[in-house]
Amino acid sequence: MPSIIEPSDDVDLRRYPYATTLNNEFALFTLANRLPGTIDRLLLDSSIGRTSWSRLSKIRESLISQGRVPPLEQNPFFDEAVWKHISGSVKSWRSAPFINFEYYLYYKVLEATGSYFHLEPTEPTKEQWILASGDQSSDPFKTDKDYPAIGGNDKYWSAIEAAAKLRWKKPKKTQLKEAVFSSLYNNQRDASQLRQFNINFVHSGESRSDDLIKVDHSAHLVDALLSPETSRIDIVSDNFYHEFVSDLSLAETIIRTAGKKVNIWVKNVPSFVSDVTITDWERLKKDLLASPALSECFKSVLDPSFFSVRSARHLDTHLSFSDALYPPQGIAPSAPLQELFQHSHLIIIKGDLNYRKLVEDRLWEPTLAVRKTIDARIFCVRAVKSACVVGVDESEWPVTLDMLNASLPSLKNPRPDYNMIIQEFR
Amino acid sequence: MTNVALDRRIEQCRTSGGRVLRLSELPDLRSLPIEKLSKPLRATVSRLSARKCGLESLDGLELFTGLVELKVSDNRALKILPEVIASHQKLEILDISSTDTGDFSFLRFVDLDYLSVRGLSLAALAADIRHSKTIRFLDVSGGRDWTPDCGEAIGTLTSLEFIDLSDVEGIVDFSFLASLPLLRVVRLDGTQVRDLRFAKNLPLLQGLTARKTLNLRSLSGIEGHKALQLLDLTGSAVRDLYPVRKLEGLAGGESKSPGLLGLRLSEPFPEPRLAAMIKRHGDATHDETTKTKAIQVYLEGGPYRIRRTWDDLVLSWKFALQTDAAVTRDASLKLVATFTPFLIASVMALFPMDFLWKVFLYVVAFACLFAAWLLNYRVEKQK
Repeated sequence: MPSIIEPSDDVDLRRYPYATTLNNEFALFTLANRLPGTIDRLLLDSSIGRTSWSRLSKIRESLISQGRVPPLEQNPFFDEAVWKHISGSVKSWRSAPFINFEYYLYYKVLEATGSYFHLEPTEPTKEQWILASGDQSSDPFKTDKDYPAIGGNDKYWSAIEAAAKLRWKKPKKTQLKEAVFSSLYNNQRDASQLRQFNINFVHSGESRSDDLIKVDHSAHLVDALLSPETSRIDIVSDNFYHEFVSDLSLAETIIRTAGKKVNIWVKNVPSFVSDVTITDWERLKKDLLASPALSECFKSVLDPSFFSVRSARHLDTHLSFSDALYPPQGIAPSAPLQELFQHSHLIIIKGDLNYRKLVEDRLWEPTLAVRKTIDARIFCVRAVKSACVVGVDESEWPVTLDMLNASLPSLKNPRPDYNMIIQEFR
Repeated sequence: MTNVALDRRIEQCRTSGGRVLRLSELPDLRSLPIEKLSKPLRATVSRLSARKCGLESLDGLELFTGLVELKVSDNRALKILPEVIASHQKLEILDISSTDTGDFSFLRFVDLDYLSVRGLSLAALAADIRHSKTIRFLDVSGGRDWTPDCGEAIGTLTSLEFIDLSDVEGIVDFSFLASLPLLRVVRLDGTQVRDLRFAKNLPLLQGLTARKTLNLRSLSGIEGHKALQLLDLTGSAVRDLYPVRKLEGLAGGESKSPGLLGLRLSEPFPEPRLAAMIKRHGDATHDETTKTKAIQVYLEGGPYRIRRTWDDLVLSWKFALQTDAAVTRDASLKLVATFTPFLIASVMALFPMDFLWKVFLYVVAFACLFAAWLLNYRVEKQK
């Protein structure tokens, strides 16, 4: 089965192996620094640390040793065949594909903190799972998702309301472009980095990071959004809080200016620290509906006839988007998984991880020519946080894999400014 | 209702792989539902939690042959017999807090990693806890009948990473903590702790809470703890933040709570990020008028100083005299070395002397100043 994105010419994929800690410095940095740091934060949490110290501490130890991976003990909701594939995918932190061990680590953390016991299927679509009663208390990463109270005195929501109203007065194309860039900038500033950076919501039109935007197909994206051939748009979301609010704002702008249907895809389980889950959306939606002013600003994304937020189980797995459409051998095809993107005319992939799930997390040469194998137009909007980039034109960003690696966080430089791209795969 | 909920929990255990059985907070359970669990399921369950569910006995627990984790806290009527626990050789995690348990002799037979005995009488703990050489987590908060033997016994648990001594009455001497080099979190809320001297020997310390500690006045002892990310002193008598001024790791905890001193203090004043952070906390303010000299930080009702006052210096000096001979010696030498050049200058002003004498005294004075600078560096490093 073809991948959604594949090399234009016949190339031997063995030349581009999957990223692992053995061949990729950023993967090694993640294993040695970022992931133990994430567990440290949980251990210091007065509630989680107290109840889960022993389990989390053992996971941390195994990470530090970079050797054997403690086996998963619980299957939260996956089909048996999918679960076997997941649970058998990582034996050693060192040799496992980077994307697999990242997911695996978060499974272990969720298992260790007891989150799986708070998951409940929602009716009528059994595909969606939610933390019971919308209660966030069992989300170990909840502190990274606390947004300012709506209706309080905080300036956060007032500024978003004011920016939205200001944007409405501008031409359609300008509105869309601003919404796209706001969505990009806020990907760079995800909530999981709150402790490293003084992060604020970036409204549209701010161009202070322009020199970091290496590939800019935003004009194509705006044209595609307004094109009469586009009627359904799918956005695969990344982080909650600033970024998700900007994604909602983008969806709202698309619906209001272009009259298209928009669907945002999110996860079921709260992995990857600040990733959006269906529970996060339910909570935010309830709060937005309670505020007349914000309900007005986000009117179209609160209208189910044009907008929906859906979760898919395969977003909770390390499987690539191609795997989801064409399940690998041994995994039974699952209708809801195949539904992802099936009716889409335009797909916007947000964030670093989703990019890797689209193109596969290999050590690509960034300028290697690739093509897409599905009809829908595909745009990726991301800050480049890992060394996975492919299909960029040399005239736009003449980057090599070595140059890319040098620009990423490392033990010497843990907080670089991220390069950003708005890339279309043709 | 209970049966429906219980059946659901058992089904959840089965469908998620049969390893984890969670019975916590099911009302009026009284005993383990052995009859509802198939034999194969009993054999696969390795983690069992039955907190706050009215348990009165653990009859049938021996049928869970692969038990690694047992959490049965907050069952007031549950009396746990040592032999019930001792028979589970694979047990690593045990939480029997707030139960009717007073005999810890099972600790001689199982190698625990995690033990929570919150709210229990600790009278019998000292004799048995010293056998738990593998233990990493120990929660004795709210414990009664503390004796010095308990501290001495806990001081032998060199694998400990987490200890919670909150609200334990009667602890006078906390020096046993200094012999636990792997400690990463220490909780001392509501205790009689007077100083943090023990922290000097804890290089991995990441979190320290000492809320409601009315006797705690000095933070001396935590200087140089780069790993420290969480320091909660809400309701303590500490007002002098000078010892934490270089602990950059504290910034990591800044968003946790207003009471938590996640302050980045390494920059010269005025420190705009500090001011912004204090403002973000909402109930904290800082005094703009004194920002070039000192910032007064108010968190949860108490003013904290970052620059030292004379009282702080006296307190710090007294502390140094009490605590560490090497620091005291160096600090004393530093004082002598600092004042000697002034003495020399006075002598030179009062008594006319030869050129060679003057050169000699200049050299001595500069040597003293250099020595004072070196000693100051050493004292700071030792702290």
